[in-house]
Amino acid sequence: MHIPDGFLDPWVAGLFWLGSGIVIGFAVRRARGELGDERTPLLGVVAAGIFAAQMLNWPIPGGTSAHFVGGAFAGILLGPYLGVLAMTAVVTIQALVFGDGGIIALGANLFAMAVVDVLVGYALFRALRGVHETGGSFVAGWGAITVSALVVGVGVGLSSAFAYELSTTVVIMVVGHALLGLVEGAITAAVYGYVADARPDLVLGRFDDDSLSPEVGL
Amino acid sequence: MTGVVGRSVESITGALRTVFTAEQVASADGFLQRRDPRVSLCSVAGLALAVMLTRTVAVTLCFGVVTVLLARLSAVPLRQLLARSAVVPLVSAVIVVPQAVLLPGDALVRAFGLAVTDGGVAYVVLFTLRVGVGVALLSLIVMTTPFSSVVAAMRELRVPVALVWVVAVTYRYLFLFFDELQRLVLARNSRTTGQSSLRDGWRDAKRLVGTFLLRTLDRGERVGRGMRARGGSRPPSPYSRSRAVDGGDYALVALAVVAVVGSGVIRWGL
Repeated sequence: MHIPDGFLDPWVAGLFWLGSGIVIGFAVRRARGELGDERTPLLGVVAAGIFAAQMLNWPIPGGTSAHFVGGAFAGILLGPYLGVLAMTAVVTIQALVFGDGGIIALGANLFAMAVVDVLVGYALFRALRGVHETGGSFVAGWGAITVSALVVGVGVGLSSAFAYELSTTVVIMVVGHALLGLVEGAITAAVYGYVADARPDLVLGRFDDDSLSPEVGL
Repeated sequence: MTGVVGRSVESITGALRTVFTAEQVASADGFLQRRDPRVSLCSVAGLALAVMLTRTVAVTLCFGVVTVLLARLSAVPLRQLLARSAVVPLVSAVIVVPQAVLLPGDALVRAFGLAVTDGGVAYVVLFTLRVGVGVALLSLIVMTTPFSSVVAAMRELRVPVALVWVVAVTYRYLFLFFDELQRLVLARNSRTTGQSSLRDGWRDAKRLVGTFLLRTLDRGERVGRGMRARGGSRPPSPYSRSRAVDGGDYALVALAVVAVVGSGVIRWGL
């Protein structure tokens, strides 16, 4: 999912930076309003946990493995604004510490994995949890990764630096990730089910105050 | 046998090795290490932008030479830089290699009714080089600038303070959580024998991640309680301020500006 430098035209990368900047800036304002300056950094502890959880290999048929992306899970667990901030920290560290993606393409990677993945995952879960909570988390994980792939496909397809047509990039990204997304959906549902069973108080919207953790106000 | 889940230890160890190797290079005395982190970050981003603007192999190769020179001046072992930067361009080349026959141009080779064109080959070479130089520039930043300095630079560059804190705290706790997850996986491996099925693997992975995330949240709560016990009125101030810029910093900025302008002029013939 990480786009390296060289795939995007500068103007497309610039638009992604603009989109990410607006949404993340709004999320920062909302987070400061919800948590206050002194508790916002604690979100980093949760973000570090999601980042580390991405390192675990999940077995898939064929003897190979898949990794958890966690954007939808962050949205489900933390809500849209805090989820966006947590995944922003994750994607930024992936780029500037582990060298995943690119510098110019960081805006696009933030938009796909920290903005779209989280917001779509949250919206799908919110819409479907009344029908079936675990099923809703599966669809959230699957749908979020597929829509993120669509965004990446559009960005790359609009760039003249990448010679394939928009119709080709969109189809390949969406179909590929609609299949891979089944694994992300299954992981999201499995982890959500485990956490919700063990700590139902942590699940957003289960209780009136809508807070992740009463102790720290997350 | 501990299966795919058990091999997560290798993923975690590999990630840690990558970071520690980069930190070793970052602690060396080199050109980029001596630069103000704001200047390093912005200048290397400028060079990456210049590479993205270019549409000719010769100019891209020039930027490749500049990248190698910067690496040499910064005591970055070229073998390490190559090892970090080689995989992504190679995968990218595989992705665009069909363009060698799809793009129009004079036929270089004909086989099975398909013609490899000069225009197609030129595009594949240019694209792969551009991605390779872009990845190498990012690797230079990663290998020469400690992340604590990057965080300090983000503060100086007016990134919202709350976001910088979140990034800084994420980084601060990341390695602790890597260690915790690694211990969970090792403990699981030590009590697992025989070939685990796909179903068993998923059950184990679910328990591992679930337990791990619950511990993570618990630690977040304890950190919150600790902060409140210490007063909790002030947010943490993670890293020191950047130092003043000097002649070398101005030279690097000038190089980046010339690169962007030059790349644009060559592309559009302004």
